[in-house]
Amino acid sequence: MINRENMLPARMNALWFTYIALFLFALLPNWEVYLGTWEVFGYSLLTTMLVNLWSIYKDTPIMDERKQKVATEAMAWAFVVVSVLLVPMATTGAEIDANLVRDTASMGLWTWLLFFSVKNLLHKYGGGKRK
Amino acid sequence: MGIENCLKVFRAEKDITQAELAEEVGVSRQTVNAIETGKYDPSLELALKIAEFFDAEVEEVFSLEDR
Repeated sequence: MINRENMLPARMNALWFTYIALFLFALLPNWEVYLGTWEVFGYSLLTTMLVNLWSIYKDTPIMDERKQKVATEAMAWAFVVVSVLLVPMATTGAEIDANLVRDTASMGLWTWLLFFSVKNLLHKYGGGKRK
Repeated sequence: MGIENCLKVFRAEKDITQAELAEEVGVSRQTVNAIETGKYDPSLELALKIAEFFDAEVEEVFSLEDR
């Protein structure tokens, strides 16, 4: 049964697209896989569409409001980490090349993943109320 | 100041599981659990859906914590 209500909202689609694109750009080179701009955008778009298809065929959305809130908070922290990393780069006059951008983007991705995972683990196993 | 709820009581009265309630209001079971354990405050829309499901007023299900 198709549940169109389970389609991801625009903000979550943007998040998925962005992070898949960053993953393809920043982490695949670790395995000697280098994709061009349009390949990165194409695969990111395709993945986002597949995530939506997966969600509409489920009874409950894959990213309900709580997961969306956690994902958005994680995105905010990743932004903070990347911004903080950019300051020493700018002030020390480091040469901005593709590898530097990749490493910074990797840090942002891992920050996002760590925050999201820890928050979900705390929810699952953390005792007591949060307040 | 946070939000308290008696979701567990309403669920028990209606004899439904967290998973069943989650499916009815369109969220995951983990979200229902998070609401019941006070780890997550639902959006207004979700709170209204939950109250409507239990045929109760929102204020009967959710309330502000005493200071």
